[in-house]
Amino acid sequence: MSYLSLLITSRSGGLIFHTPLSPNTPPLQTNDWLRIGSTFHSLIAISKTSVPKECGGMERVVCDNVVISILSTPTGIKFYLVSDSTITSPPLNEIYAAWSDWVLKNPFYEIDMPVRGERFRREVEKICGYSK
Amino acid sequence: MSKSSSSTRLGDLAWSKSPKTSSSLFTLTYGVLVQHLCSSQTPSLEVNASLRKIGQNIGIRLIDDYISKTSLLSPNSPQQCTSFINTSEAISKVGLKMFLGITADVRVDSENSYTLILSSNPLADFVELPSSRSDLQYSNVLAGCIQGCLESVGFEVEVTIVKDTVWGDEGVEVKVEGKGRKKEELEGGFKDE
Amino acid sequence: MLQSSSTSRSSHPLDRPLHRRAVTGSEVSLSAFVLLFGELVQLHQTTSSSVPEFEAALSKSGWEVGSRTYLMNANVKVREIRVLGVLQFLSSNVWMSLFNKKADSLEKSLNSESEYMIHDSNPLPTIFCEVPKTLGSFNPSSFVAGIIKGALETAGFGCEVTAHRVEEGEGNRTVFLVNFCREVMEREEAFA
Repeated sequence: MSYLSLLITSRSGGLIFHTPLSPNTPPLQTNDWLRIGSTFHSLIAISKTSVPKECGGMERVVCDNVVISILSTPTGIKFYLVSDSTITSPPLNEIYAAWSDWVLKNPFYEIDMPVRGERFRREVEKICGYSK
Repeated sequence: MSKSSSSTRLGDLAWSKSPKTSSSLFTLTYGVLVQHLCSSQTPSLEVNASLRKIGQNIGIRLIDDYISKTSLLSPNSPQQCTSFINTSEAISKVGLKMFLGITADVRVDSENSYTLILSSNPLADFVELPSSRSDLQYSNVLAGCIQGCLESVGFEVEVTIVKDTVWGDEGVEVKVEGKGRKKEELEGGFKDE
Repeated sequence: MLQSSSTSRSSHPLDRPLHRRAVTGSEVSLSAFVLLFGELVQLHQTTSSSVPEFEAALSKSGWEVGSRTYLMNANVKVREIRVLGVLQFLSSNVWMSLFNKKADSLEKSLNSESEYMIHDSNPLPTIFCEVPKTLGSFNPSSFVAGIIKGALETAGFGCEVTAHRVEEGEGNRTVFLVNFCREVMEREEAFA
């Protein structure tokens, strides 16, 4: 076990993608995932205002044996990769690049809307070495 | 190492890594798009607005491609556009190179305005406007695209094509004027130095 | 450098130096093209009321591209007059000029004398297209089908062209069915 799940929130903080990356990912309801997504989006905004210097916001949440690595892009999209603590360099830039290819270059994807296609999910699974 | 040459190097590297296609497919498809918008006697003013909107739509998607791919290529010095004037370097040396295989010269006109100077038009080799369409801003998609990119990272801008080969000019000049930062998104975390 | 620009406002494209082409280069990034193509797709989608109408509109745009590509590449001295010759020109020269590669194969159909198949393992324009279920059978490769039709008809070979996705795992493999019209086949017989 290494990666657990990936979540992505839109510029406005809505959850637009989530996928399990391990059979051990807890089977949450979609509503729970939505709640987690918007909570994290808000937490990052708060984390930025809670420091005296300008900063890009929270990048890592470390628990006993789980780490949440966060990429906040300059365009406002946020990627959250949940993994165990053995992961030291999470492939967030690779996932972001896959997003720019397999989601944004699909003419049928509407900006800020949930991702419906499967190609991006498969790409993420490939990057994270997860096969069902 | 000067900033300029590192941008040029990143642009060249990004271009060498980009999957490519022929420029005739690109220019012909753009021609068909313009032709489609111009059919049914639509006034040029409306076509110009549609082209700008289409450019903005492209820019909104393109900017994430730009940021994600350049971050992969130079993870330690991400191409962050920290000030308005910096964006001229990012567009002229990296963005245009990475997507269209060309670079532009930059003329800084003031603190809040610069002009990108392209020696040729990547959208319109040998396009000549009929006299009935002399007011068509054929390359507006380029202006819209730059606008879409910059707005997505928090810069309010006005982008205008001031010279164009389709009007008989020797090259293309794109004027970019900064109108400040987007407020609500600044709180969302854009860095400004 | 070139002369000052103020005097050249009225210059005709033919009067301008040819080296511009070299400055622009012969390639652009796939990203730039697919995003532009995506806008064309969305434009047609908003103005079409059904899937066949949407495919027809996209095919019509492709027709223009194919027609112009044929005219830009055709040998003005030796005109292709045979079906096989023009198909070979299409699947190599036209394909090369637009997609920087040749089509994967060209085959004669066993079903009909007038039918040919062009295979492409991954047609460039639709490389990132993922059609939503709401659009049912919509095939974005109708754009490429239009390119084929435009090139062939401009060469004097009337035909119908359809695009079919070959269901083979995750790929984008597509077969284009070219059906020449009766006049073309009659002419072909006369040559034989």
